[in-house]
Amino acid sequence: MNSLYQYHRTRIGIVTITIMFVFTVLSIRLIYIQIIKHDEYSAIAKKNTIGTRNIHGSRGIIYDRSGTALTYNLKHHTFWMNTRVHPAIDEVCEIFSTVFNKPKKHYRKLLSRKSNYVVIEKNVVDPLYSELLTKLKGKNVGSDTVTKRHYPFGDLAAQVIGYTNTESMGVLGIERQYNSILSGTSGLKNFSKKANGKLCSNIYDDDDDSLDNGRDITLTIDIEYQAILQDELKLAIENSGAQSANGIILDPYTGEVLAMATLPSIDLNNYFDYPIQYHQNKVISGAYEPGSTFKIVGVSAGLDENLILPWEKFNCEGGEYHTLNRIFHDHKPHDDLTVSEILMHSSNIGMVKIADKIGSERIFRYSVLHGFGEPTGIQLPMENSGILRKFKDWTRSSGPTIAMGQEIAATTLQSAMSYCSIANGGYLLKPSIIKSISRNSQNNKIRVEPQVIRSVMGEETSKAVLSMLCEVINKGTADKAQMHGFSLAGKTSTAQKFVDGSYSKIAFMSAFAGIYPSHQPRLVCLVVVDSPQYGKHWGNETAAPIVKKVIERIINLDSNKQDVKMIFAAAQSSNDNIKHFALQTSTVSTED
Amino acid sequence: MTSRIDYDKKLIIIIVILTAIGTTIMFSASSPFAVQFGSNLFFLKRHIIALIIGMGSLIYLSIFNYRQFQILAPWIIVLAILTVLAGFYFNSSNGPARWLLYSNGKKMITTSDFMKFGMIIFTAFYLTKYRKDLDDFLKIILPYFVLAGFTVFTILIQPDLSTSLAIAVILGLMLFIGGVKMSHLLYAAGSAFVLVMLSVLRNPYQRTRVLSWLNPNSNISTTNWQSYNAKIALGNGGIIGTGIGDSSMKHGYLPEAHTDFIYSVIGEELGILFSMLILILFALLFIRAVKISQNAPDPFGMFLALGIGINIAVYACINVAYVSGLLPTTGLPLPFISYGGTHTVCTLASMGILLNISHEGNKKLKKRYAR
Repeated sequence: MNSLYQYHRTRIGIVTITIMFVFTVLSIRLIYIQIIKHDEYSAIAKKNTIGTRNIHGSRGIIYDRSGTALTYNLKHHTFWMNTRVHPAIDEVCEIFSTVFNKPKKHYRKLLSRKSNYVVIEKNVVDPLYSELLTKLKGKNVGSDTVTKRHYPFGDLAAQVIGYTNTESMGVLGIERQYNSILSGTSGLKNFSKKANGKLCSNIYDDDDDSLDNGRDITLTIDIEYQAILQDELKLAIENSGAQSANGIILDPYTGEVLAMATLPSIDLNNYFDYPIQYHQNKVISGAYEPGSTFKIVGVSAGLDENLILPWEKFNCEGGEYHTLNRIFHDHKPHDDLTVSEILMHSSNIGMVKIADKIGSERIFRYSVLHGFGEPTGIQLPMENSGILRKFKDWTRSSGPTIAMGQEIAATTLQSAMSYCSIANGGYLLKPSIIKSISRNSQNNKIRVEPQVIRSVMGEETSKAVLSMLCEVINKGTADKAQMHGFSLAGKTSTAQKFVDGSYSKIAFMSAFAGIYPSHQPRLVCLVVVDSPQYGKHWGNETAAPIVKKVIERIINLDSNKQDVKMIFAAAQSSNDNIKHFALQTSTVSTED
Repeated sequence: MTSRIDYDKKLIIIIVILTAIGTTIMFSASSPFAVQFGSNLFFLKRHIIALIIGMGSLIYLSIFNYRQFQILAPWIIVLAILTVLAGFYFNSSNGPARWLLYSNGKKMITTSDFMKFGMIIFTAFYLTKYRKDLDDFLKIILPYFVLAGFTVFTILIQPDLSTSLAIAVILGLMLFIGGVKMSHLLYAAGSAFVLVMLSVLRNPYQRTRVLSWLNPNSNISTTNWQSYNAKIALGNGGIIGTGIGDSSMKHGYLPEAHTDFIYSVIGEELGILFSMLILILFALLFIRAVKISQNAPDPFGMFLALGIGINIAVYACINVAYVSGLLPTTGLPLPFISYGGTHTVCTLASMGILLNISHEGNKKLKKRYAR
C-alpha cells in the first residue's frame, strides 16, 4: 500500500462500501423476485407465454379391395407477404414468374397492394413447394399450410367415396358414413406464444402423445371393375340420350359390392362445380318401379311353394287381357306359354295368371323375403327402403300388378340382392361395401364378414329360375346380351316412368339384371338407364348391351391378369428347371 | 528483473468468465430477434467480431504503458468531443444522434462510449495534475465543471439521459475520491439535478418512464411493459432457471432482450444461481480495480484504475436495478454481456488499461523488494 493511497484512503473506502451496499441491495432484490415471488411470476409467465391450439390427427385413407388408395391427404400451401412491412421485391416476382410461368407484371401488381396479408399463390403442393421454399429463403415470404383431401380417381365411384367439406367433415358417401372412424382425434396442444400472439411452431410440451390419426378403410370396390362399369354407363348415356344411369356389380356369394356407379358422376376434387342432383348415389337412394326384372319374385314364389311347374302352360290371351277392371297388355301377342316362356318373353298377362294362381298373400310374402320395402343395410348413408305397401292396403288387383313389377318401388341395390339370391342358391345376403377397417396399429384389421339375412327359396327353385333366365338371353327378350362362348343369365325390364300421376308413354326406365356365368355364378350386374330416347327405351336395346360389354371387359381384364400370372408361373418353373439342370450338371462335373 | 510479465490472473479469470457467460446468453437472447434478419446467428457473428477487436485492444493496451494516456489526455478529450459532434452532424435528419453511422447507415458507433472513457482518462489526468490545488474553486474546479458539464450535456441532448447521468455519477465519484471538497461537489450535483429535471419535463417519454416507475402496476400494457416483463422473466427463472435457450419472455415480450434487458434473460434461463454469480463477479471486478489502484505506481494510475472499476460497477448496478424494477427503465448496456460493438470493445480495452496498471504496479513493487 503506497503513501498516495493512504491519503485518499477514507474516501475510497466510502465509495467501495457504498458500491458494495448497492450490490447487497440488488442481491436481496434478486432473492425477493427469483425465490420468494417465483411461484407468482412463473404463473403469470405461463399464462402469458403458452397458447393452445386444436390439433387434428390425419384423416384415414380409403382403399379399394386390392389396396389402391382412393384418397390422399395433400398439404396445400399458400404463399403470402406482408407488403406493409416488406415492400415487394423484384426477386420475389422473378422467382414466382419463372416457377408458375406467369408474367412478372402479374405479381408486381399483386404485391403493389398494401396489406398485412397479400396472397401470392394458393394451393401449392410438393415438390413445387419445397423448391419454392428454398428459393424464397430470407425473402420475407410467408406460407400457410392446410391439409386437403385429394381423390386421385376423380369421378370414379364418386358418390360411393364421397367428399369432405372445408372443415374436414365427411358430407357424402363413405366419408360421411365413417367420418368418426376416418377422422383422427383432435385435442389441445400447448405452444409457446410470442408477444404478438403468434404461436411458435414447436410444441411446448410434447409429453402427451394422445392424438391419433384416423383409421384406414378398405372398400370391397374393385377400382378396375368400377372404371369399366362407369365407362360403359357413360357411353350408354351418350348413345341413348338418357338422363342418367346407374349400375352395380356384386359378388353373389358374399354380397360384396365390386362396383357401384351413378352417372353422370362428379369430380370429387371439384365437387362444388356440379349440380346437387349428381351427388346422389342413385343405386341406393333412387327408388323406382322395377318392372319386368321383378317377375322373378312371383315365379320363384310359385315354384318354391310347388304351386306352378316350369313347364306348366298359361293362356296369354293373344296380348290383351281384361280382368279386375283393367286391361293388361303384352308388347307381343302370345297364346299358350310355359312359365319359362313367360319369363323369356316377359309376358305381363302370363304373370297376372301366375299371380292369380299363387295368390296375393304369397306375392307379398315373397316380396318381403326378397328384401323389398326395407333397407338392405349397406354401410352407406341415405339408403332408400323403396315402397312396398302393407298387405292390408292392397287392392284386389295389387297382387297381379306387383307381380309384373308395378305398384312397387325398389332401389337398384334391392333388385340386385334379389338376383344374388337366385345366383347363390336362394340366400338373401346383406350387401357390404366395407372389406376391412384398420385398427390403430398397422396390419391389424377388422374384417367385415359376409352376412346371410335369410333363406329366400330352396336351392332347386333358384336353379330353376336361373336356367329360365339363361333362356331369356338365349331365346327371349334379351338376345342383345348374348355372348359367344360365355353363358349369361339375365332379365330385361322396360318400365314406364310414373310422371305427374300417370304412366308416361315416352319416358321409360330401361334395366337389365345379369348373372355371369350362368352355370356357376360369380358376378351379378344390374344396370338401370333412366329415360333413354324413345325407340332405344327397350331394356334389350340399351341396358342389356351395357351388361354384356361390362362382363366381356371384365373377362378380358381377368384373363389378362390370369395370363400374366401364368406367364410368371411358367417363367418361375422354367427358372427352377434351369436351376435344377444346372445343379445336376454341377454335381456331374464334381463327380468328374 | 524477469522479462516475464505477471498479470493480474484473478482479473483475467473474471473477464473470461463474464465474457463467456455473456456471449452464450447473448446468443440465446438474440436468436428470436435475429431470425428476422435471416439467421439466428446474425447478432452472434457481429458480437464475436466485436469481441475479437476488443480482445485485440485489451492485449495491446495491457502492453501499452498507461502513462502515455497522461500525455494524450487533452487530445483524447478533444477527439471524443469531435466524435460526438460528428454524430450530431451526420445524423441531423433522422433518428437519435447516439450513433455515428458509417457505410450507408448499416453500421454504427455509439459515440457516448468514447466520451465516457475520454472523460475518465481526462479526469484522472486532471486530478493528478492539480491534486495540490483542488480547493481553488474558481481556477481549478470551475473550469473542470464547465468542460464536464459541456460533455455530459452533449450526451444529454442526443438525447441519452441515462448515459449522461451514469457518466455524471462516475465522474462525481472520481472527483470525490480525488479529494474535491464536498461543497463543490454539491454545487455540481445541484445544477445537474436542475438540468435533469428540465430534461425529464421536456421529454415526454422520459417523463412517462419516471411516472410508470413510481406506479409500477398502473397501465401494464404501455409504459412499464418492459420492466413488468423483465420482472416476470426473473421470477419465472427461480433458482435453477428454465434452461438455456428456453426463455419464454424473449419471444417479443422483452424487445431489447439481447441488449438492455439481457440480465432478465440470464435470470430466467439460468436462475438466481447465475444472476447472483454475475453480480458477484462484477463486485469482485470492482474490488480488483480497487486493489490495483492500491498498488498503482503513480496517482494517475490510481485514479484511472478506480475510474475504470467505478465505471463497470455503476453500469452493472444501474442495469440490474432497473431490470429488477428498482430504477426507472433506462437503456444502459450490461458490460461484457449485452450486445453492442462499441461498448464491448471499449470495456475490454479499459480492462487492458487496468491490466497494464496492475502490471506496472507489480513491477514497481518488485523493484522495491529487489533493492
